[in-house]
Amino acid sequence: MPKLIKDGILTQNEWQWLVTDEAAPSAEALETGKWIVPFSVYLTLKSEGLGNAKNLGVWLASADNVQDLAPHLKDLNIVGLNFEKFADGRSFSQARIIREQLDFGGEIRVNGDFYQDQMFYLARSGVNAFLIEDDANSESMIESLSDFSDSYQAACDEPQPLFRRRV
Amino acid sequence: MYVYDEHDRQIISERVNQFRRQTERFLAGQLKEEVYLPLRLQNGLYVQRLAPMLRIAVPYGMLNVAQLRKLAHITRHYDKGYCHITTRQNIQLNWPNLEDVPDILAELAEVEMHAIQTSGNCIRNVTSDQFAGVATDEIIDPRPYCEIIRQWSTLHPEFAFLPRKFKIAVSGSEEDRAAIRFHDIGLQIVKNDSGAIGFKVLVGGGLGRTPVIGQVVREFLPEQDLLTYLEAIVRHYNLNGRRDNKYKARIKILVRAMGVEAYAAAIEQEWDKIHDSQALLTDKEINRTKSFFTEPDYESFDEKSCADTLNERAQKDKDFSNWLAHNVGKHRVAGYRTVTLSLKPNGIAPGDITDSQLEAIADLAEEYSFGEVRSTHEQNLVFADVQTAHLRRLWRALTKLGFATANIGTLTDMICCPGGDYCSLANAKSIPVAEAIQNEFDDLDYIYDLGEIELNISGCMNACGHHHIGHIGILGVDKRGEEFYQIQLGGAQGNNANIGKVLGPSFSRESVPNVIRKLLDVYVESRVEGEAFVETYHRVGITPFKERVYAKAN
Repeated sequence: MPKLIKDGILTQNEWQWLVTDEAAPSAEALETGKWIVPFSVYLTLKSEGLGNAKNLGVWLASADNVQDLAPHLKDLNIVGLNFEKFADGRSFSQARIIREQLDFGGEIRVNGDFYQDQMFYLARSGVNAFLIEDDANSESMIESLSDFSDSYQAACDEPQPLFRRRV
Repeated sequence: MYVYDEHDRQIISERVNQFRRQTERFLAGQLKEEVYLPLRLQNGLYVQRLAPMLRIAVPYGMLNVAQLRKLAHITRHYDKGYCHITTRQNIQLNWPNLEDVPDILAELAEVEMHAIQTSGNCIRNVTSDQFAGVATDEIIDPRPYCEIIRQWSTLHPEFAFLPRKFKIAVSGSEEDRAAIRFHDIGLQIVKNDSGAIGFKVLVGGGLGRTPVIGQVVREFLPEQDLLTYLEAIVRHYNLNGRRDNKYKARIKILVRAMGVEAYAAAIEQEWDKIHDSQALLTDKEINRTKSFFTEPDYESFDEKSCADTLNERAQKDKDFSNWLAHNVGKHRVAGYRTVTLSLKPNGIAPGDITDSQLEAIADLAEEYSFGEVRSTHEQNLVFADVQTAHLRRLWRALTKLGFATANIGTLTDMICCPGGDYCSLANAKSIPVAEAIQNEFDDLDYIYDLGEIELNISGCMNACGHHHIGHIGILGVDKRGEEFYQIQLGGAQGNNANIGKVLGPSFSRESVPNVIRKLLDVYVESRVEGEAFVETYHRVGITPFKERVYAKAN
């Protein structure tokens, strides 16, 4: 079972991440569990009147357009972002747009092929939850979240760029 | 020059610690090679043909004497006693040990230097005009804006894993000396009709496999909007640039696919969402940054009497006069000149410099140029503020050190990448070609008669040696395991930017100097009074050059 680092601490993971080719959760499965599903599955479930913010979340692939998510964010507590390849940096911009431009206050969770040394930047970009391997060194990963104590740019963790804070 | 405060120092030192931990994890087998790769690249560390290579950032080419002395120490203690000036104003070490790199970065941090984002698919070191602040054709000093961009792009959380590398250059003068038309973003500082400062923004230029001249996406961007606009461009690129093929991943391909008008509209739309965000520059910040680039304590001189005295001395000494004519340039301030140190003497790889030379240059800079030196994308060094009365003494000192070869702007002032001698990407060697050309054309009178010629050599199509924009460009190619060289004509950097045309089938290494000789013969025979090589080429076209060079084969 993958582990979850959320808001800087190791936490119980209650959400199941539905991978692309898995069957959509049934109405019963949604009654008993919490699911993060691909965008297309999310749209289908919603059109069938299934799921609510408490048991249904959505995850975006790197190629998905975040703007398409805008009308749905009011019904969501959790948005996932999937790294297919760690070198594909689209998730960073997706997270930042969801937080800053679409004003999403819920959980943004990353999954997939990201690695420890990207976590500081991901956190700055608006990600607050990281799904990690069961055998991952979570302590070391949590430490990486504070690799730097200050940054030049404004981002989700610090709305003011350094030049506005310099005295 | 910019001076770090406690924030800059803290960020840079935390970066050193982060990389030290990453390297320890890698050496302990806890970090896979493919994951360590982008981490080391974003700290300037490559693994090359024979050894690792460390590329140290020289932000917009500015160096002080403490930094030069530190670089001398580093090349002596961690390397083989020499380093290399790159075509993006940076400095490369060719032989460091991987496990020493965290220590090298810690030493660099002591003198406010780093190797952050000198490689990898991220925003690279910002480059500029080597004569910034002293050029006679300058509109506004570009360096404060370069520093603002350096800080914004350094460890940018959102843009560390772009589709491909991303380069920005800024020019603040009438004549572009920073090759801004061949950068992912080129910024030309302009003043509008009401006197406000802003930028003309060019996007999508670049060399490499697909050379493209950047196109204007905005004629006037007010200076306060610099960072928000850059952010809009890079965010749009991060989300929309191609990631399926690394050879089609640069922003130039995206701009071309969209068409510049649709592209510019998309950027405006993206910018609209963030243009009034906290990243909007304040006058306070612009002024704070400008306060680091104020005038040094110039003495006041009468320009005419300075120039007269200099001319008198020059008339008595041909070598000195040659050096004045080629390596010494005009200065905004009366009685001052710029001096370019030629790193292209015969027999030395273009841009290479030793530890003791770095120290000697530091001493001279202290004595003659307010303790500052600039690196150029033509792989030379510049003293920007030399009194005319000191030129002769400086010339003697530089002659002893081997930096007074009076060839700046001539055929032998070649741009040349490290090529197959060092680089693992190269298809062919480039340094021996440069050396052979220097040996063939060692007669300065002949070189001067040829006038202004830019000859650029790249060892592969990645084009670090800028062969596409040389008046004569040489490209190393691999033909069934053998090194051959393709020749291009008519490229140009600057305001009249142009991409060279391929002359025809490639040549063996041995025949390159002779081919260059034939090309120059055609020019000398065809030129009309005062016409430069590239002008003759544009007037007569490629055919006479082709006919001469390939005559034997026909």
